[in-house]
Amino acid sequence: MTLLRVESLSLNIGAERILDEVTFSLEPGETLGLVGESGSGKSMTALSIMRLLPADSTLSGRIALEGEDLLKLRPREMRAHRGRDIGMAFQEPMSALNPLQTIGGQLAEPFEIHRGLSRRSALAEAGRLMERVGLEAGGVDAGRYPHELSGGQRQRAVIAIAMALSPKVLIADEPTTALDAAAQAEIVRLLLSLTQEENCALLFITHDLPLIAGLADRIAVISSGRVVEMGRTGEILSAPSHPYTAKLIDAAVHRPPRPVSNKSGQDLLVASDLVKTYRKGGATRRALDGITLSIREGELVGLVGESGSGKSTLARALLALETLDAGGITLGGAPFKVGHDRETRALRRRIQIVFQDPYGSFDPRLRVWRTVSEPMHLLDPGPNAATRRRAARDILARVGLDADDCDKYPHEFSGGQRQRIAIARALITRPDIVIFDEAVSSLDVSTRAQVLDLLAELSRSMGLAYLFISHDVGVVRAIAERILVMKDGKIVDEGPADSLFETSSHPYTRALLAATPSLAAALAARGERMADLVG
Amino acid sequence: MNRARAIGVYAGQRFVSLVLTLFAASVVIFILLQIAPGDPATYMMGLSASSEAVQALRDELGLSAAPVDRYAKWIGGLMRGDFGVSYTYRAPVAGLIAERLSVSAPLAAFALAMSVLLGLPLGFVAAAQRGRPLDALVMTVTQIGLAAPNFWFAILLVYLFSVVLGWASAGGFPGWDAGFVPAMRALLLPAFVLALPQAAILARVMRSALIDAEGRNYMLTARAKGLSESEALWRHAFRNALIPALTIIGLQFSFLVAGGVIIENVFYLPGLGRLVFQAITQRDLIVVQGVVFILVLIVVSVNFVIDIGYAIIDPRLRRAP
Amino acid sequence: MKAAPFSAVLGAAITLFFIMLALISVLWTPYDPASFDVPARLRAPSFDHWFGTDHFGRDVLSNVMAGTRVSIAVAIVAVGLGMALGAPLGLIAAAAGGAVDEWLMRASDIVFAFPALILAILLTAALGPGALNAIIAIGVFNAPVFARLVRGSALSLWKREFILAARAAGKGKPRISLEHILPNIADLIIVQVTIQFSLGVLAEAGLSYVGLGASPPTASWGRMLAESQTIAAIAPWTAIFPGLAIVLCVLGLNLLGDGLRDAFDPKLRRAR
Repeated sequence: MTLLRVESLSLNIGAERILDEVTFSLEPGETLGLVGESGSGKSMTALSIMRLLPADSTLSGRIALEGEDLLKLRPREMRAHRGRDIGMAFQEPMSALNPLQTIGGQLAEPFEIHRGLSRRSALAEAGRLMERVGLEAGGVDAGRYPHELSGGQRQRAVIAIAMALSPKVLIADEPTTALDAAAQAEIVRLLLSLTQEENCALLFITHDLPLIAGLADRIAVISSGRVVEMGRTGEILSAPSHPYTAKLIDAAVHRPPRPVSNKSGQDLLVASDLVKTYRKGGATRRALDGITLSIREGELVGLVGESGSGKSTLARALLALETLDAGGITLGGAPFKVGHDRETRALRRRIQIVFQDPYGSFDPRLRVWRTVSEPMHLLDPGPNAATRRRAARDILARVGLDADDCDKYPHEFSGGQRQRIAIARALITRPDIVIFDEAVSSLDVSTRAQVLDLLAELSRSMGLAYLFISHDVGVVRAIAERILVMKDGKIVDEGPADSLFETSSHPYTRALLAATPSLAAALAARGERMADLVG
Repeated sequence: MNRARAIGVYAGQRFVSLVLTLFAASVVIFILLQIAPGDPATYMMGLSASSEAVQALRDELGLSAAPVDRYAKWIGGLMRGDFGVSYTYRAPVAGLIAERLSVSAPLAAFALAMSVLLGLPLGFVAAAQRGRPLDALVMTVTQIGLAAPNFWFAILLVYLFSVVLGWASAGGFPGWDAGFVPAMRALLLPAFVLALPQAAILARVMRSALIDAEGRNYMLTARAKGLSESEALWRHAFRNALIPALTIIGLQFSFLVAGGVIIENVFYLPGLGRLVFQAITQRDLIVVQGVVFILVLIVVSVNFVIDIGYAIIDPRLRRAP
Repeated sequence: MKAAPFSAVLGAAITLFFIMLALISVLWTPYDPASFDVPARLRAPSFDHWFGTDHFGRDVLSNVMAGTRVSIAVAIVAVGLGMALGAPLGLIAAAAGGAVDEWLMRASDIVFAFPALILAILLTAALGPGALNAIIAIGVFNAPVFARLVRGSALSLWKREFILAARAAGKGKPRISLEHILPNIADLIIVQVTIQFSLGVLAEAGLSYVGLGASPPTASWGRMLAESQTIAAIAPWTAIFPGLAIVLCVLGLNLLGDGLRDAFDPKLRRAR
């Protein structure tokens, strides 16, 4: 019998149509991947099943759990199902946990609510739960608070709460998005082993096609509130029937054409032995611990590292926005230091940056042309407003936007368009090198592919060098010709993009690759399994 | 225990900052009163006094010494509990303050307790009933509570009780010797008046803090566990909302103390407020100095206690030792 | 932009009304607010004296009108002073960081250690009573309020990427403070000005109630209440109308402030 059947589910919030006749089903013990880009309605589908929607929403259709229509239940009856029959793990584990309550207390709550256990015995159950999800092995005891845990540990706690009462269905909404590759791989392993032990069905909601390819039995692809395609994972990925699915798959394996590299180029940006230490509450942390690197003219260099490895500090240091404890930077042979003098300003013109957050990187009160032309301040003499506006129009057109967009405000643009604006700003002074700090990390796959193409084309035509910083091995491999691997403030490994991950003997590099899901690898693995079954 | 120790370390840091603030405040008080016009000795002797007599009195009061020496003498005395001798009462300031504090301190504590007991539940109810008539009522009443000066409330209440309802005179203080109940009864109305605007602010802050907490993801987690809306509000949002509420209690306590000084005048309570106004008109600056220092001490101490309260509620503030 | 809520419009209307009242009172009041008319003393509200008369026969309405002037003038100048002092200090503290920031915040801690009105009382004790000294006293208390508000919001802006981008564009801290930080916190400052303005009206009333505000014969709401206290039993109107004026004026400012805050709320702005 089908465990969970969602039939023609439609959702309106206010006057806005969020879900449009969504239909899918979940069999006992299976893993269904619900895949979609941001704003597709995938999280709202999950909240609809839990009936935890905002107050002004209206639902129609049917959500049957073992034949019982959840939409017909009274609030009290629905509460009896939540946490007991359906568990849900949310993304962003920091905000999903109450910051003022101990982990033990939060894990104990489901036992108190549904089993009527006393605080004491509920806490004992919570202790056993912590053991099962590997929190105890990680040295976390029940008296810890969320802020004292790592991101991965917090996500374990969130999953533990959802799995506490061995529900029949676990809904996991982007459970690994906030984590780096290693932690992501562990969390996926934990989710699969827990659901298998309990024969619990898993509804895994994600935007990450390579990730879901490796773990789901079936996939449902959702776009603009509609399920456009559903079927067995292998079949969908190898032979998608809907153009949207095909576009997603293309984007996930996309590699922009790489420019012919200029091997004879001279050293452009050279950093030697950079050291930066932060003090916080008596403890010191070395964000940069002797970083030495050099980038040639027109060279595309990638830098991979997990969160907290010091990547962003390095980006700021290379822009001479961070005073260093030791070491020095030269740009085109001239020393490049924090300051506002004439020489420094002349150097600043040659190095620019594009940030991750397409929302935070613009002054919301400035028209686009003012933001884009801001670095022209570095030109000597500074051009007048009319010149700056004209330059902004030209460069906006160059990055694929409409020149007339220059009078709009940043909030009028989509995430992908905003990254183009950020690129325009970085290019307006005709720099020699641009640093990209997680510049495509927050973009949907299809937008990301377009932006990567644009970057490759710009580098080719303008002879730009890039330092492309990311936690995402896939992205860095797609764009860079040479890759540096950073860990704990040090460059631990380096090599050509084509072969580094396959040939490196460094354990950290190999671990990074192993932890990075790849669509091709997942499909290959499936193919072998299919072959085994057939043969 | 680890938690107790962490709180202890935090309390120690806050205490050091308390002492430094008090020290700086004492300098400010002293300097301000140095530039005050009007020589206490001249004032006391009257205009007809000979300059020799005034000078003799100045010497006697210790006003002839250099300012730095006088400050050193004052602060040194403070540490021993010696606030100097009043120019007009010719009695130790410490004794005067202690006597008046026995009225002012219970008044402030009473008012604080009332504002918390009124404000927090009202805020909780308004948040739980958000958008319904009860919420609108609480919001309207508190809006007026914020706008009305409490001494005006006091005048109206005195009028209502003594004239319209014909109750015994509202005002005056029988003293603690008359017994606990009569003394507390005399403080009831003034404390209520003092508590009203504070309760109004607290209710509004509590309401918006709870509504803010409701939108957080951990409330979704709580609901997904099977808690009802009001259970989740109580078990998860309330504690989180207490943090801004505590901040407001701390900030507002300063207004409550100041309000007390004024309200004492309306109700003819022999507290610090009456003492300080008399002292100002009589240029009894050493009394003004002492009273203001005590008021600062009270405000700073209450904020110290509130800082400790933060550490108890919010584990993120407890730094590992 | 969505329509302003009724309460905000009401608040704006009330505020405007009091500003008009203050302006009119300069040119005209029904009676001379300061002139005694002993035979007409303690008259209850009537057609001749809408708000009645006090124990010297002064017209209460005329005094309430004239009192508006003092209240609003004191509050405007005091809050303006506080903002002019505090906001630049807050900007500097956030931009400079380190020891400068530390010292400025310590200084504001010390001001905050004084119970609100007590600092004013101390200042007026030192400088003597009077409208000007009340302004200084209220202004001094307002400065750290603005300093902290500006510093706090500026600090969070300094962490934003668009500020980093401006630095990568070679702009210095003073220029960024004026070009990017200040415009982005202007709305917060405006909201705080309304809040402090209403507190200023209350503080002025409190100070003149205890005899430390504007000195006679200048009319003021607080002193009217102080004088009414002994006669409230026989002439309650002398206490009711000045009090109502305070409540209404403060209420209007508070409603306006709430309305502005909602209008400026970044969460609402994003949804727009």
